[in-house]
Amino acid sequence: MSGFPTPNPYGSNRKRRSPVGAVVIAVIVIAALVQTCAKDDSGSGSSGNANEGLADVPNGCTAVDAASSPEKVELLTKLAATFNRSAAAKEGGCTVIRVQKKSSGVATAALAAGWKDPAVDGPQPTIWSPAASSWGAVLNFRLEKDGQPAMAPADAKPFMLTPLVLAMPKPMAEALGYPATPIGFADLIALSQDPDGWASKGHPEWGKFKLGKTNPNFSTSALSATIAQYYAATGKQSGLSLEDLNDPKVEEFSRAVESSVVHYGDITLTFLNNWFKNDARGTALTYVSAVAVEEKSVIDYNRGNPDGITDPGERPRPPKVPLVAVYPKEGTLFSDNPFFVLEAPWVTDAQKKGARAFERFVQEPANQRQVLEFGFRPGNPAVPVSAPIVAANGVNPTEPQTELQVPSPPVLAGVIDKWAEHRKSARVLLVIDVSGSMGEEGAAGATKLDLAKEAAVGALGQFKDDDEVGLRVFSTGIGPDTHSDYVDLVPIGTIGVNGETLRAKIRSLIPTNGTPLYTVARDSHAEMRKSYDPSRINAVLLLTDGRNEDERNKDLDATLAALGEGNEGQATSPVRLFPIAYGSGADLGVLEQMADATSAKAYDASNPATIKDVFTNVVSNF
Amino acid sequence: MVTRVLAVLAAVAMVVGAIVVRANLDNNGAGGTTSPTTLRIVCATELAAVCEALDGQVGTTVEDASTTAARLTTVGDGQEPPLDGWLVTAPWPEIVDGARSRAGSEPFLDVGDVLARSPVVLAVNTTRSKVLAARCNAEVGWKCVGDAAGVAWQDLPNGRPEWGPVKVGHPPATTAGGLTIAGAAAVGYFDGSTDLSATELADRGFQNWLRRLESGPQIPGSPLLTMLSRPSAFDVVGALEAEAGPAIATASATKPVLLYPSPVATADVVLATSDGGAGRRVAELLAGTAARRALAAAGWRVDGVPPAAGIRTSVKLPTTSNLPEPDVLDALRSAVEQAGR
Repeated sequence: MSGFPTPNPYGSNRKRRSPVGAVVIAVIVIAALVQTCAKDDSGSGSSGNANEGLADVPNGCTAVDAASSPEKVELLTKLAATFNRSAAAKEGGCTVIRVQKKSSGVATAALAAGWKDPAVDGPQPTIWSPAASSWGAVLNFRLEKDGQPAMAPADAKPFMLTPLVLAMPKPMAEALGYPATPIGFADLIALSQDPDGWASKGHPEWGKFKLGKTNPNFSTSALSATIAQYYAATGKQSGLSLEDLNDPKVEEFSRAVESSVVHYGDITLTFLNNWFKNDARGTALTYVSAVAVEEKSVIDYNRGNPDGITDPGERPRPPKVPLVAVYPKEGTLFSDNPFFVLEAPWVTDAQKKGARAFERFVQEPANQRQVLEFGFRPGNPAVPVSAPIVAANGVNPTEPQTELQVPSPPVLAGVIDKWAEHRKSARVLLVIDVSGSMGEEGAAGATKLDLAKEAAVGALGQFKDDDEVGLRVFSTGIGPDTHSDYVDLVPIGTIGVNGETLRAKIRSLIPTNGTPLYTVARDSHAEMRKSYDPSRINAVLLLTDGRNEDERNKDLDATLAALGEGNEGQATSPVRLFPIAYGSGADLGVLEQMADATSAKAYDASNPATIKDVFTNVVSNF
Repeated sequence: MVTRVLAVLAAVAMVVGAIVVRANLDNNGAGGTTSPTTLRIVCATELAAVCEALDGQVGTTVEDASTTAARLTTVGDGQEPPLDGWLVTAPWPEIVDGARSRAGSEPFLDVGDVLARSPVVLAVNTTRSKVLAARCNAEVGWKCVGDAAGVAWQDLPNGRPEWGPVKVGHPPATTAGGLTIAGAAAVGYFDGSTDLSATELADRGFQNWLRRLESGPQIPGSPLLTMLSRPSAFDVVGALEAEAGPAIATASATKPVLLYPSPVATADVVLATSDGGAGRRVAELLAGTAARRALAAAGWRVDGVPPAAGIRTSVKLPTTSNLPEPDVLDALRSAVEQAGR
C-alpha cells in the first residue's frame, strides 16, 4: 500500500454532460462503489461468522473494526455508537466503527499470527487498543523475529490512563504507615518474607502477609507487577536487562516473592470479586494482604462494584473494609490504553481514514470526560483528573511521583518466561465427569468428552515440570465399593514424571453412567485438604456437564458447608475448587456456589466449542 | 422491431458516453499537470494541520520526515518524484539532496522561503524545576539537562527520593521536530557553537552525554502530551513551541515551566518542490490564507498572522535557525539512534 495519495476516481470537477453520458457515468460510478464496498468489507474481515453482535454496515460504508481490551469495551462501544451517528463519521465517506472485546494477550497472539481466522478471532481489526502500549512493543518484537514488518505504530495516542497500584485493606496499609510513610514493593516483599508476618507490625491476628498475583500471560496488571518485582530485586528503576533476570540473586528473590503468593488469578477481577465476598463474610483481612491492580479497580471495589460492571438489578454496596491504593515509592507503570491504527496488510486506506476520524472523536474533551465515569484518567491533558479519582475512593490523583521504565520487548518476553519458572508450584487434582451425557455431540463429529479430552491434554502443557497433577474421573457406580462414584486413574505426582501417563489416561476416557456431583466435589476437596502442601497452590479442577443425579447425596447445603471449611480466608490449609460448567446441561448456579465457598471461580463453557480456551483460563489460576 | 431499435440506440449511446467519459478522464489525468486535483502534497507529521486544511483541494499525505526522505532519496534520475510539494522543516530537503549526491543521483528539490517558524523549548516539571535550576546554576540549558539525565533526584540538593531518576524525553530524531531538537541539544552541549562537524559528534564526552540524554523512558506518542497527562512519566521534555505552547495553555493539570534554552534554535518550515509547474501551484496554495492560518492555529509563528494561545511572542527569534549544517544534522540523527539503543 502506497503512502502517497492516488487521484480520486470520482473527482469533484463535474462538467455538464449529455443525459446518456450521465446515465453511463452513473452506472460506472455505482459499479465502482459496489466494488469499493466489497473490498472494504472483505478488508475488515466482516464476512466471517464471528460477527454476531456487531453493527450492520450499510451499503457504501466502510466497516472499521476495533479490538479492545475488556475493561474499556463498554465505553468504546458506547462512543462508537455515538460516532457512527455523528457528522464526523460521514466526512469524506461513511465509517461504521464496530468494537469487539479481545484481551490484550490474546489479541497480541492473534495479530502476531496474522489474525488468520476471523471466524474464531472475530473480524480483522483496523484499530487495536490493548491495555498498555507494552503489548504493541511485544507484538512488533514477535513480528520482527518472524521477519514481518511492525504493525503497531510508535505514535499511538493514549485513550485513557490508569497506574498500577498495590491495593491493600486500609487498616493494613495504615499499619505500615500509610498515608504519611511512602510504601514500596520492597517493603511488602520484605514483610512477606518475615516469618512473624503481620505480628511484626503489631497484628498477629492477620497471620502471615499474603500476596495476591495474577497471571502475566493474560493480565496487564500482572505483567506490570512482575516487571516491578524484578526491578525491586535489582534496586533499579530503569534499564532492566536479560542479564538482570538471569542473576542468581534476582532469581532467588523472585522465587521468594512467589512463595508468598496465596494463589494466582487469571485476571484481577477474579481476585477482587473473591475479596469482596470475603469482606461480606468478615474475612477480608485474612484472605489476602495486597494485590497489584489498576487504580480504577480500587475505585470500583470501594464503590461496591468490584468487577466494574453493574448488572441489571445490582445495587452496589460499599465494603466493610475499604481498600486503599498504595503508589509504590520505587515508581510504577501505567496502563495507557493506546489507540493503534494498525499497519496490517488487511487494513485499507479508507479504513485508516475512518479509524483516524474515530481517534479524533474519542480524544474530544466531552468524550474524554466519560472515561472518568469508569474510574480512568483522561488521555487528553485538557481534561482534568477529577471525581471519582478522589481520596474518598482510596486513591490519590497527585500520585504517582515517578514511573518504572517499561523494559525492551526481549526483556518483557524474558520476564514472562522467568515468571513461568519462578511461580509458586501447584498441586492440582483434575476431576472429570465421564457420565453418559458426555457422549453427546459437542461439535460436528466430536462428543463433548472428545472436546474435553483434547482441551485437558492441551492444558497440561501450561503446567511446569514440578507441578503436581492427578486425575480422577467420576460417574455413578464407576469406583470401588469404598467410594463407588469416582476412581483415581493417575495419583498426584509431578508433571515431569506423570505427564505422559496423564495424557494417555485422559485420551482413553469413555462416557458411562450418572453424575454424583456433590459427593465427588466434597470428597475430592476433603482429600486435597488432608494432603495439603503449604509450599504449593492446592486446588481441584472439576469438569462436569450435568447436574447432581445422585439419589444418595442430594444435600447441597452440607456440601457447601464442607467446602467452606477450606476457604482461603478461614482455613490454614485452603484448597480451592474450580468447577467448569460444560455444555448447556451443566448446573452453573450450583457450581458457582461451590466455587464461592472456596474463594475460587466457576467457569462457563456452556458452548462446548469454547472448552479449550476455558481450560487455559482455569489452569492460569495455578 | 421497436425493441431492437431501442437496443441499438442504447448501445450507440453507451459507446458515445464511454468515449465522452474517456476523453474527460484523459483530459484530467494527462501528466497530472493541468488540474489542481492532481497535486500531491506530503506534510511532515508536525505540519499535519496544513494538510488537513488543504485536504479536498489536493491529495495529501502525512508522515514522519524520515519516511518521506527515504522515499525521495531512492527516486532514480529521470523518474517522476512521488510528490509535488513536501512541507517540512529545514534542512530535511538539503539532507535528501545530500544523500542523493552521495549515492550518485541528481539533487532535485527546490526549497522555497521560510513559511513559518517555531523555537525549541524545554518543558520542566514545575515542582522540580527549582531543584534543576540550582543544579544548573540558574540557567537550565541542554548541557545541564543532559548531565542530569538519569541522576537520582535525591542526589540533587532538595531533590526527593520518591521522584526517582531525572527523566528526559523528546521526539525521535526521525521526525522533523525531533531532528531540530537534537540539533539544538548538540549546539547547547558545544556551548552554542553551530560550527560542528563529524569530529565533534565522535567526541567521547559528547557521546557519553548523548547516551545519558537518550536514556529516558521510551513511551509511544508525544513526550510533551505524555508529560501533561501523566506528570510522573517525564521531568523534562524537549519540544517545539508550536506543540508545547498551545498544549500547555489548554492543559488542566499542573502546568510545566516552559524554558527557551540559549541559544534559541528554531524549526523553520519550508516547501520543497521538484517540478516547476506543479511546484509553483503548490507554493501558491501554501502562500494562501487557509494554509497560513492553519500553520498559525497549529502553534507556528507566521508573519502577519496572530499566534495561537500559548505562543510567547515576547521571546524573539534569531535571524537564523542556530542549527548545525545539514550533513552534520544527518550524522547526528544516526548518533542519536545509536545512543538510544
